[in-house]
This record gives sequence, C-alpha cells and structure tokens, in this order.
Amino acid sequence: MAALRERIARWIDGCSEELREPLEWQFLTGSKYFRPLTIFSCYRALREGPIPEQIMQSALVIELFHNVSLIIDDIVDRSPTRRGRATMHTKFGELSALMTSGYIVAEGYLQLKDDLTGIALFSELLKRLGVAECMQWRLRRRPLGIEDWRKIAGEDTGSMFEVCACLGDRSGRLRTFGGLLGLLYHGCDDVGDVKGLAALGGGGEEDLRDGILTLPAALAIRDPAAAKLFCDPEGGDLAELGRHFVAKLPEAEAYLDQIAEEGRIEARSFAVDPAPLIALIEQTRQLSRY
Amino acid sequence: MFGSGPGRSAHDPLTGIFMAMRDAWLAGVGLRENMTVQSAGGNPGAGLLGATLLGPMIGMLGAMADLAAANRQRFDQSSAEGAIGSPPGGQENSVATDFVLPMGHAMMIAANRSASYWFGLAQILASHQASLAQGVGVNAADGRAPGSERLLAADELRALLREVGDLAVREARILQSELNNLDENLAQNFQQPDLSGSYRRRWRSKI
Repeated sequence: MAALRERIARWIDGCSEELREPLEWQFLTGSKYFRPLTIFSCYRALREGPIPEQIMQSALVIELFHNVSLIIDDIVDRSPTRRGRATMHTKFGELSALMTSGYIVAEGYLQLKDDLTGIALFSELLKRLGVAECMQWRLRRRPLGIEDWRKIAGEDTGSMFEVCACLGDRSGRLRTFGGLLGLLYHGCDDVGDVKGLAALGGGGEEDLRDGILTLPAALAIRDPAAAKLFCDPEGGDLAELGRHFVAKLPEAEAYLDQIAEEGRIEARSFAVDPAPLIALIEQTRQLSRY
Repeated sequence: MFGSGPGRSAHDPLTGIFMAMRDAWLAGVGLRENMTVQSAGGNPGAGLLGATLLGPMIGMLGAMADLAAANRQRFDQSSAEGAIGSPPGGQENSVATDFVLPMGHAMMIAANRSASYWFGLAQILASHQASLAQGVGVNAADGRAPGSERLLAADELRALLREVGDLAVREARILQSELNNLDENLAQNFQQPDLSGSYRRRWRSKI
C-alpha cells in the first residue's frame, strides 16, 4: 500500500498545476484503499511472487475511478463532508470538482497505456456505475424487495468489486466473488448508516430523505406501515421511518452473514489460496459491527 | 452389486441414470399439475414440494453412485489387466493409462458435480419450504391478500429462483474448472519433449 500511495503522489506531481491542490485534497488523506487491496488479494489468491507492474497500475487507476464516483456522489447528494473533512465541491466549488473528475477519468485511461483488457474492464465499470445510479434514483420510494436491493447493489458497489476481482485475476474466475464482496460492502454500508456510524465515511440521512432502497429499508417496508412512510413523496415522518429501519437491523445483519458465507464458498471453490479472499470478507463484514 | 435402494438399477448403471432422470422428470410434471389443481381449488400444498422431489433426487444420487462405482471398477480392471496381461511396454497398457483413466476421471468429476447439484438443490428447497408454502397460500387467496404479503411472497419466490440459478452456474463453473485441470494434465502428459534446443546454424552462408 505504501508503494501505491507513492505512485499516487507521483501521479499528482505530474498533473496540471491548476488541479494539483484539489487532487491532493482528494487523494492524499483518509483513503482506506480497499479496492486496490481487493485487486492485490485476488492476484494473491491465484498466484505467488511479487505484484507485477500491470496489477500495480490497475490498483492506481481503480483508486482514481473510485474517487471520481465519490466526487460525483458528493455533488449529487449535496454532502458537505466526507471522512470528517470538506468534500471537494464544498472546498473548491462545483465547477472545479466536476472538471477535476473529468480530468481524472482521462488520466486513468492514459495510465492504462496498452493494457487493453484493463481498458475494457474500466469502461465496463464506468458504464455500469452510471446505469446503477440512474436505476437507483428511478426506483426510489417504491415498495420493492430484497431481490431488488440485490440487483441495485450488485450493479452499484457490486460492479466495482467485480471489476477489481477481474483486474487482479484476468481469467475472470473471481468475478462472482468480487460481486458478492461488493454486495456485502454495500449492505454493510447500508446497515452502518442506519447505526449512525462514521466508520464508512458518511451518515444515512440522504438515503432516508431520498427514499433510496437500502438493505434495512427493503426489510422494513415489508411492513405496510413502514412502506407507506417510505413511499410518501413528501418525505413523511423520517424519524418514525428510521425507527422501522433500526428494528430491522438484526435481520439485516443475518442477511449480511448469509452473503458473507456465499462469498466464502465462492472463494474456497475458485481460489488456489482462498485465505486473502476470506480475509477481505471478514474485514468487510466488520464494517457494520462497530 | 447395483440395485438396492431408490434409483439403483439391477442392470446397466447408465440405464439406471436414464431411468432416474425419467423418474425425476415425471415427478416434476406430476408436481406441477398438482400445484395447478391445488391453487385453482384454493388449497395450498407447497409443503409437498420438497417431499415430492426428494425421492427422485435420492434416485438420481443412487444412479450416479452406481455409475461412478461401475467406472471405478472398469478402470481398476483395465489397470490390473494392463499390469498383468500385456507385454512389457505394450500398446494396450499405454492406451489404458493414457485414455481410459482420464475418461473415467472425467466421468467421476461429472458424477460428483451432479450429486453436489442435487444436494444443493435439496438444501435450497428445504430452506425455502416454509416461506414457499406461505407464498402459495397467499397467491391462492385469489388476490384478497394484502399487497404487502403478495410482494413478500414474490420476493421469496425470486430469492428461490436466484439461488437455484446461482447454484447451477456455480456447479457448472466448478465442473468446467475441474475438467480444465484434467485437460491440462492430459496435455502435459502428451507433450512432446522439447526438440527446439538452442539455435544452431546448419548451413554455411554463401560468400
């Protein structure tokens, strides 16, 4: 991870002076580097030896693209802070944040050079993330179920980790594992938000306000009273809706345990050494348990 | 040695497999008809689902076990005959080792995966049995159940369908991976010794 951090710093040094400050603000503090870690772990699960240059470069680019999604999310959600500090658009303005995110995408593709498989995977990621965001917004405040949550989360965070798994192991053997890890991450994020945690980088007020289908929401709205509040276009009684969500936390945790187990089975079935993958699952699962 | 228990055929194990498949198919068709009649008459009965399919599943497993045992016997025989009857370095022994064993191994892998699929399917059905019964009850209520209950039933059914699909895909991927490993071993066994050596000029240039 230290090598990756250095690589990011070197990359920023080579960027336009005009954007260097926002880039440093965005990249040089607070990142958990969980997506690069997923790439490295997937590589390690199937191969030994030092991490090759192509994998290191993929780790750099996934961190770039992930941050683009964070910048856009923060603008759309009007979030003033992330990880305890001002978001890029709050600090530098929306224009700067939007232009910087475009610059990062272009730089990401340049960094991939002649890695055609990598280019195809990152293109798949950007397309799926865009579709998932639109789908999630279109399906807000609707009385949907767990299976719908799985579909949305699978395309949103799931696609990110699917691509990480394919970048780490280009054969695609760990794609399903990546998807399950992403689903688990998304679910832990949802549960963590309801618990009011800062551990995953934000609160859950935006999702509650916007009627986004989170895991606790999908479980809670099985109760018609909660469904009525959730589907209310005026926003309804958010405090009461929040209480419905809290009541469903144990069920949500049990469902996350089930996804974690699916991930372990997948790791044991397709990895030469499943230990790094199982460690990823355990680390992710802890995110909702603080 | 074959022929005791459901799905065990007293005859050829391959015929046993086909008979077990036929039984499973008939059971599925019967179950479907049964459920249609029951839902038309407002009588839930999805609790029967697991029980009805369990017999054919056990039958399939029995037939698989027979086939695997028959193959095993055949490989052991070929190996033994190869070791005793053939002349030293004989062609037959080589054929037995080179082809019959991998073919048998492939059949064992396939039988194992099939058994694993049926076990997985039984587990999924068992875990969804209660909610399915409730779901069929709600749907059989001819639309009088509250919308939330119908949505819940639909969600349960979708989960069942996804799990069955995921199971089939996972087992197929494991099968593909195991057969690929076998294929790789076979390819390595048949690989010609490296004839390239280091490059040497075998002619003189015309000056």
